[in-house]
Amino acid sequence: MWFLVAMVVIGTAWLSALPYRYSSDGLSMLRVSFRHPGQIVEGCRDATEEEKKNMPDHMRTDKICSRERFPVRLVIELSGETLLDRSYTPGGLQHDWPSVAFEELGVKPGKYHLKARLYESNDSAFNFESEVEFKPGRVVVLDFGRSERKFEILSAS
Amino acid sequence: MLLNGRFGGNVTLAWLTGVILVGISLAEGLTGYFLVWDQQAQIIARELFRALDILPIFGEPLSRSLLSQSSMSNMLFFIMLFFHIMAAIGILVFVWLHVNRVARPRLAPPKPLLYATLILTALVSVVWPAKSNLQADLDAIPTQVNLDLFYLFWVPAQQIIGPVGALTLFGIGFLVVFTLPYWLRRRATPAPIVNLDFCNGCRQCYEDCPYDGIVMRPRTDGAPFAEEAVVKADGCARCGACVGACNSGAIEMDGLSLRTLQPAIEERIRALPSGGVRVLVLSCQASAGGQAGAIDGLAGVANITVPCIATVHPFLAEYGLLAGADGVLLVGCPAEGGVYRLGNQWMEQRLEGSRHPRLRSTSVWEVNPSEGNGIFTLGAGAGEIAALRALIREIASKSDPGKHEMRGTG
Repeated sequence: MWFLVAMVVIGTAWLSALPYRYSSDGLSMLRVSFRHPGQIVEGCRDATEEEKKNMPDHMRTDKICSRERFPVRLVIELSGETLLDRSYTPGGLQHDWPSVAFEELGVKPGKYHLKARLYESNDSAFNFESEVEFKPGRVVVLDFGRSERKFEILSAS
Repeated sequence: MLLNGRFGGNVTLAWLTGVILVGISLAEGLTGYFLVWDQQAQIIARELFRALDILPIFGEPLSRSLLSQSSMSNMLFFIMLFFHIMAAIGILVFVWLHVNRVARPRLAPPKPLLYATLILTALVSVVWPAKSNLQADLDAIPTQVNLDLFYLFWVPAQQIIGPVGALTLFGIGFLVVFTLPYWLRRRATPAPIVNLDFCNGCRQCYEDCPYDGIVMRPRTDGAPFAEEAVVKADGCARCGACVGACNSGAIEMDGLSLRTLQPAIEERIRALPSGGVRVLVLSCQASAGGQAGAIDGLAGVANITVPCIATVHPFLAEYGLLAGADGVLLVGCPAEGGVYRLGNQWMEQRLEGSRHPRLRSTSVWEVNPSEGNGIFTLGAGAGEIAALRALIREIASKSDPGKHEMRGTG
């Protein structure tokens, strides 16, 4: 029995600290994220008298507004090459919540001209440009809207 | 549990809570490792959140909490600590549920195993201590780490097949294991029936039930006894320990009772050729003796199979000798890993006289004074047929053929 228990204990100990290669050496990464509401799809219109009549007293308003928001589109370019171009659907059943993104993009180490554009509607966008160096094994973190409505690099390699 | 078929019927709750306990133990380990916040914790957090983000239950991706080292909130550790403590409490609650329908649950392993595990674990932890990896850094990509694959077996799988594939694979696997009692359900053996005409409310069946299958309640038939036994079908494993415990033959299960087994034994012994050694074997259905063809061809051997060796009332062993057998062999499951619980223990205690109903040793000694009491026991699993056959041959070689002729019944 001692032998069997010893085998189990040693096996468990061996299994609990097994050398494992999680990722290759020399990789670099761009981590980009935002939480931002797209603009409302339609503007507001005047409510008709009939519509006003059907509204509860405490919710009566002259304007009726759509709650649906535009998907937010994010475009990332590195030295003129598009790394990411994706639209993020707003959350919520009525698509009236902010769009949220979290992307991890593998990048070859080196110096790049990073260009980021975030479209909150068809005709409104936030732009960002910067020279960035990606070092092996390090992550460049680009976030939008953490403190202000703009891109900022949280960590550079 | 799985190989012994212990996942359905009255142990369904134990199976379901057992599967959940495995999951909670995994959560306990993962949250514990998270709190260390080394590179392994970083991988756990990254891969776990990557998988959870697929589920449409969070307002925004959990991964965003791992954006960068500078933006990481201490609240994440507080939440993990909360889940770590909740998992420990969950283990206690589910262990209680796990053994809820089991009488006399054995929560601790046998002492030699316990001490061996404690000593060897302590020794290995000194010689080969568990060390943390390098401190986590969300702004760096972990490369070579020491991973605990006991808890993180799913990480390499998720890296290969992606979070959707891994979640689908483990989700389906969990569902299949969780619902095994439904998929592999067998024809239900009828629950035991208590014949109140013979029940004197002695409580022995209640004492011997290894599960939660018998309750005692005030007498309902006007008989001059305080209580009567009632079978709870949903708590009964159909092991028949109550049948073997009943002195008055009041309990019958699927045609088995003291009253039906007695004539069956007599009939089987009478059917054996006279003039040679005759051995009666009473076998648990999961033991070596219960396997088809295991000992059926042996000359002079009558084998009767019962659900559990505790189904056998000790009087039946005695009656085997009285009916003309030269030896009676009771075959139970191996000491560990039986299909039902406590069968061997009850059998041994009944035979040695420390548990009711007791073997009436004096009358057996009258029958077989030179060869002990002529009753033998063996714990042998389905794969130990050779050991069973060897013991039967040994019993036969020691016996004096025809010494015990049927007495009193013609």
